[in-house]
Amino acid sequence: MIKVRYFGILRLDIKKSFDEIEAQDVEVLINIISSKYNLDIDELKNSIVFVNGKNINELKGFKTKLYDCDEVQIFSPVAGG
Amino acid sequence: MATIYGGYTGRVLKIDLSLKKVYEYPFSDKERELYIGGKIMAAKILYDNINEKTEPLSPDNYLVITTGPLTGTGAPSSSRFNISTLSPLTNLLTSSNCGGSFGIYLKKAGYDGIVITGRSENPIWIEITDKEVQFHDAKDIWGLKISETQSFFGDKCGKLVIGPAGENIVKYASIFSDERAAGRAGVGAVMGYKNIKAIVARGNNTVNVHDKEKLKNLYKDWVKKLKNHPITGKQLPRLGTAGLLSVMNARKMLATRNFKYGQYKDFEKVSGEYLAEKYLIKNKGCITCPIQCGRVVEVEGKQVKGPELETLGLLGANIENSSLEHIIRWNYVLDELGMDTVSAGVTIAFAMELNERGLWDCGLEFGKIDNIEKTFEDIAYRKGIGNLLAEGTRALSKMFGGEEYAMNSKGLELAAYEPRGAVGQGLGYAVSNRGGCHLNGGYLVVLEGLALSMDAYTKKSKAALTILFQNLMEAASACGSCLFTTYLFIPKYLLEHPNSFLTKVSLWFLKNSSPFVNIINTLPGKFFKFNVSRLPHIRALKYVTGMNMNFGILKEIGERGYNLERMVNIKRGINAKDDTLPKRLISEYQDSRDKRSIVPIEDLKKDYYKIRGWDKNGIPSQKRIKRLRAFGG
Ligand code: SF4
Repeated sequence: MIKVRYFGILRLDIKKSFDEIEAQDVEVLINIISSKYNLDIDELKNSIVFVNGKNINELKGFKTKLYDCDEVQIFSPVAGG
Repeated sequence: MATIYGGYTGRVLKIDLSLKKVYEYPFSDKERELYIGGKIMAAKILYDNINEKTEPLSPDNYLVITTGPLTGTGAPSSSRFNISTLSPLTNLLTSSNCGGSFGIYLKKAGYDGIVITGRSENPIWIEITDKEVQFHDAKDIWGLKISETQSFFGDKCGKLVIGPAGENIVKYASIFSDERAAGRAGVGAVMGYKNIKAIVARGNNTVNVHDKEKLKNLYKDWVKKLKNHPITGKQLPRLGTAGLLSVMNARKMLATRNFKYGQYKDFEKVSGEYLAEKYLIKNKGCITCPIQCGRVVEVEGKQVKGPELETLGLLGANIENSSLEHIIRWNYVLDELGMDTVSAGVTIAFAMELNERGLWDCGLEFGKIDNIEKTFEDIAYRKGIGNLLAEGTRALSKMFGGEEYAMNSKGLELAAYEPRGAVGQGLGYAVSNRGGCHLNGGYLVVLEGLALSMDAYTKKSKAALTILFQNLMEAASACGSCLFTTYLFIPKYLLEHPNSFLTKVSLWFLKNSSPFVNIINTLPGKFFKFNVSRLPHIRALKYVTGMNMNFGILKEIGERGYNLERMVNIKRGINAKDDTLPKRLISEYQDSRDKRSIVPIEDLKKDYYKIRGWDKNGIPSQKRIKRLRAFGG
């Protein structure tokens, strides 16, 4: 099981902060989340994603493999303040 | 002194408190062209009137309150005004950009600014109307907290007030306008020292603008742009500044345990998301602002102002407190006492570490929260250990040691961003004119992780971008605009598509952008005679004032202001050795396995000085000062 934590506006929209989801890579995970919450996949793919504290852009992007008990943090794409 | 320009009343009020006399402070149209208003106008007034010996807490210090030409013209997010003075915390110039309605009312009373010198013998409040200026005995309100003081004056006037912390000259006391604070570096202590409890302004004066029609359309478009931008239209209204805490934590930029770490295990419990889910009632903000970044939250059945990001971080992660309810309560208490939440938070975290290391048995401990509220009260009334904490981190480190982890720069406590996770922000803290301030430092952390994810550890282009941002934010602030309006400068696409190829290429370009950015930074303004639609301030200034305005002139105004403030500080005796950070941040890795997790301050400073045209001692060259006409002429 992958531990998924949601942040930013995404979290307010789906009204959920945490999920446990089975997925072998980030792409699959994003697809599952998209259908679970009825979210546009392209928009969801614009999220900032961290796997075990590392931005997926420093790993293998959406092809980054996931293993049991990995922690994924998904942030809405913008911040500011 | 009348003016030919729109946006100004053309009059600056001078008050000599010792003599209880008022005058007009001469400020010419030539000076308006060069210094615009706000903090730059104030820097000129301070430069002309203070010297190396002026004590911040003396009748000779000047408290300068200035509006910008956009203030009161209906410009979006431009109800802001500025308070500058010599800070009792840093002994240098400080400036504080403040919201609320006071600036607008000051213009209604017929003044662009107020210059206050001297000291009243007894506590007073000052009433400024379009007819007269009166001094009133403040014995009935001295001792009152912020909201009680404000209600004493009723509605339909602008109120600038201090609380008990200002009265007792806590070195980081703030001044309030509505629920907004001129928070940093002890402007409230100067007002308290001068025995002014409040300044109240009202009147019927209207501000003329140069081209009403064009301005109306521009403002409409500006509001649209702010509403359509992902930061000012979505993120800030929905989550406030508090919404940044989680991303800061993810990027190891969240000051934790007195800046020992960049991540806090319980960050979620003090995050903006949690705040929105559990406590948020509604948004609130300054008048004329479509962004409304402020929060109203409910605690114990009472609706109060919600904490900003800085407060969440510094009263949460930085003291290892995971109770958001307590932070909300302390935020309210600190506001009511009239004290800066940033400096208060950093100072108690430092005291906790001193205690832990056996250097000061003060009773404050990381993670222990039952004595915090009482400590804040004691600071405001200067009781017990509060009397020492009221002096700030730098003074405490002189008493008890621990300078290497006393989190300040030039005496001003750092904001909640841990700079070993954002080295450009580290440079900003170190060189900032007012000391450890994220905004005056150029706010590079926005590019380094808050909004964009430019390489946060590289030295490349950081000095160049810091200078560009410092200059532009300086100019925006002088106009009377909220600094958040400068977010429009960041292209929407990059924010909305962080994983796209184009964004990655753009971030690579940003990392290597110094040759291009430095063309802007170093060439005179006359080479940039064009408009930039991402900076509506340019056209707004033109339509409001009637001055000739373009990107080159605006950026040069900002650069002039930054250098002029620097020159005030040079007068006060600072040099390159003062542009630094506590040792922890420049000689200990945040993560011992990551050799990049440190602020390479000397290298960054070298680049910075070179581009700024400052010598190795950090002193602006005569040539640059002359080209910028920093002192006028
Ligand atoms: S963005 Fe926030 S601080 Fe700035 S003017 Fe608007 S409400 Fe005030």
